Amino acid sequence: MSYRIRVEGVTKRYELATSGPLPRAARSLLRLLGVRHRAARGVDHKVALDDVSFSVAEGERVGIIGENGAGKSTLLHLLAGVAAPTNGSVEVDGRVHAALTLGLALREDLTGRENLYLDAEVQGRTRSETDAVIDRMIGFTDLGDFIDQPVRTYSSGMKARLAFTSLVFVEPEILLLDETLSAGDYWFSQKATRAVRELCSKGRIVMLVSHDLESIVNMCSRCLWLDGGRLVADGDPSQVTAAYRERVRERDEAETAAKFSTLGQAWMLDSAAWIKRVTVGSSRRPGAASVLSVGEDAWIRVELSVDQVRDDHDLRLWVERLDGLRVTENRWSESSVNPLAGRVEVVADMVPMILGPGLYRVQAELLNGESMLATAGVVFKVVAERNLVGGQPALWVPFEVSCRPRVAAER
Amino acid sequence: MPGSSRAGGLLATAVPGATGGEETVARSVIECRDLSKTFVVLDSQSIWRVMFGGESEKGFPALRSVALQVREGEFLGVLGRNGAGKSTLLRTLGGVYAPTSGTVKVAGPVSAIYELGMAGNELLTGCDFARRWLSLNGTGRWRVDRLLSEIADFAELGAYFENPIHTYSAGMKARLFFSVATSLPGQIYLIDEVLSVGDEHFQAKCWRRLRERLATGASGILATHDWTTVLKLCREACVLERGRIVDRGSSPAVVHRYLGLPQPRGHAAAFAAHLPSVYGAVAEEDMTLSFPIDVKVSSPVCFACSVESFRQGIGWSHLLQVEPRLVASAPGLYDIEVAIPLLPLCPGEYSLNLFLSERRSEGTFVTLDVRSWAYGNDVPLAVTGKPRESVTVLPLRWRDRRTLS
Repeated sequence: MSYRIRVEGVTKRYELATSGPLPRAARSLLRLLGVRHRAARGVDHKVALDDVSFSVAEGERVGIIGENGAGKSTLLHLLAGVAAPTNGSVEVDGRVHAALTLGLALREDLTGRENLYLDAEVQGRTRSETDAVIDRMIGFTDLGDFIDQPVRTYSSGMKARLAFTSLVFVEPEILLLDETLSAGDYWFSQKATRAVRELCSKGRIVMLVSHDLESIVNMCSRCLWLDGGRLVADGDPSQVTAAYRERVRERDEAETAAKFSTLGQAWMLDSAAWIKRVTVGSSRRPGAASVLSVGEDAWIRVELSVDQVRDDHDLRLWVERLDGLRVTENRWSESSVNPLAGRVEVVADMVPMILGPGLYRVQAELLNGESMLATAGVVFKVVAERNLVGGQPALWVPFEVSCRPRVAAER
Repeated sequence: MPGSSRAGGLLATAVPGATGGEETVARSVIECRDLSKTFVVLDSQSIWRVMFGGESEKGFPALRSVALQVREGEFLGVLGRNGAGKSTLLRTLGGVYAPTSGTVKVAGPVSAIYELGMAGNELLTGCDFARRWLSLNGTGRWRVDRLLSEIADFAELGAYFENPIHTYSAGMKARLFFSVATSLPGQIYLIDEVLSVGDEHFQAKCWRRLRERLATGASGILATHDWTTVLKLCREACVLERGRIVDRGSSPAVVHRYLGLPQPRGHAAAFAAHLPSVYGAVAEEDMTLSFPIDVKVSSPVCFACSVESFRQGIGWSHLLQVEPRLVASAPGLYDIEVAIPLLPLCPGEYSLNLFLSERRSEGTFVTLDVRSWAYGNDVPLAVTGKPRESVTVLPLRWRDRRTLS
């Protein structure tokens, strides 16, 4: 099997200038004097890629996934020849066209049309070859009369459209795409996605960096997962993305817990009535959790302490999406007449939990009539295995849909 | 959709009464009349004429007699495709460009977020940038420190807040600019496409902040090609096309016309003509809705539906969704029944959206008939029952209390 792209043992280290305790002039002076201390160097290292090896054969469509800073863009930069590896070798056989930053190659003073011609010539096309497709290209840009205006008069979306068009019509042998499918407005991004699919079906090599895991599964035949500069998985897109989702979920759990541990506001009027803590969790896993999955059975637990037994004590639960949408308001008194007194634990079950994906805050309020005695809260995240077809609703309710023929007599 | 008078309370942070639907006529904070902006197109001939103050006959009209008005406490949505003149409009209103003709009146301090980039010195650190912006906006020194820590918190830049802006990624810049520009309440915001940046979590925070600001008397203009953001924030919207306002009205109606979705003919399958004109349901009780359909082909026909709401202060929210399900594969008259246990909606008026489509072998769907607000023919769903101070209600089941030792 012949490989068109061969990456072997590649490491890429970037040097970062730090704004240390010393001003730049003092640092260069110290360096001149031969001081080798870190403060004098003012330089830190970041290992963007760490011993990465893989090969890509003709016709493969490779998706690259990973969190921000995992080295995805660095890898594309190396393949495009924009940067050189610190160690290891990168061999690429074929005409590479890279869309790393859309619009970077546009000449501001030329018109859109001139830019298209210029770009085609840079890609090694003759003028007559370009003449043959220029009308189709201009049609694709949807820029209308603007095509004969200088590019500096374009808005950012128009520039993205122009840049993307020159990319699609070059028919590159190897296409590198970095999150560029969302360029332009809704209509254009639809068109762009279709165009990339077509390129893929022509058997070109496409390497695509994306955060949209579903489009990776749909469009790619293979998926690389980079984590902290290392290649941790390489294989079937649906398997790799599933493993990646699981990892993101674990990391989310830790991050959500750390980030929002202080966000659940808590205060009390006096020590006679207070809420010790609010926790959420899944019935599937023991203990409290900060990440839940849509549709699983989950619970909200409130531990509270009330000294005096009073009839008008009540507990109210708010669930609020982090963008401010109040999803629910429920009261203890709706279900039970038992007074809340002493050190008690109250649990509300969500069977199943129907909140859609997102970040939520549960806030428990201990009420005396309508006045609040104490409050406490916790933040949790809801994730879903997949997207719903047709939209992202706030609640994922299990519907039952049935259909039966109408009886003839009713006609 | 009519906003209920309680709407303010549905948003967790709303100040009661501040959003009120039945207010007296608010004063207008932005008003422009007959506003035109023509950019001079330079070429080898006209450049000399322009340099010596002559008139150039070559010009590109970016705005053509635009008239609009924004009342206090409201955001106006400006929809338009790339190049329609949205950015020019905002910059002209914000005072970056002088209008070629027409008048602009802006009553109050303006805070603008132009296309993810503010005029600024990239060598400044995030902190210095914020400090400079605050002092330019007349913030007293005693307030600056508190606001700075709020901005740092909101932007989540961590130690990067003290690093120069040119070292930031695009997302970090957007976070900084948004946090700074919205740090002062009660301003007039001019927002250009900013809400599509950052991760999901940051976007949620941005929405929350904008709604908070809206609830406490901010007003402004949101220019975007993303109609969903207009529906979420603006009660009224207009459409800009080639520098002209071509449509205006309530947001859902404007979006419906902006999308221009072709109404399917319903030849292959259609909702029956005697579909009720309004459906009713009771909150927190089991709900069953019935939809008569007429199928004329023998291909797989799928049904999908959604419940959406438009409320003042909250905007458009997509609440419930039924994914496409196969309902018929032979001609005939059918009744589709949709059952939801313990309807998790609060009393109020909702928009019921119904779709019939044909499933093709490759897993795509071809729309056969639609009843949806996006097509201007949705069916209202009126929910009655016990009022609550939230938008939806989760069917929580309380266990009995347990005494702790």
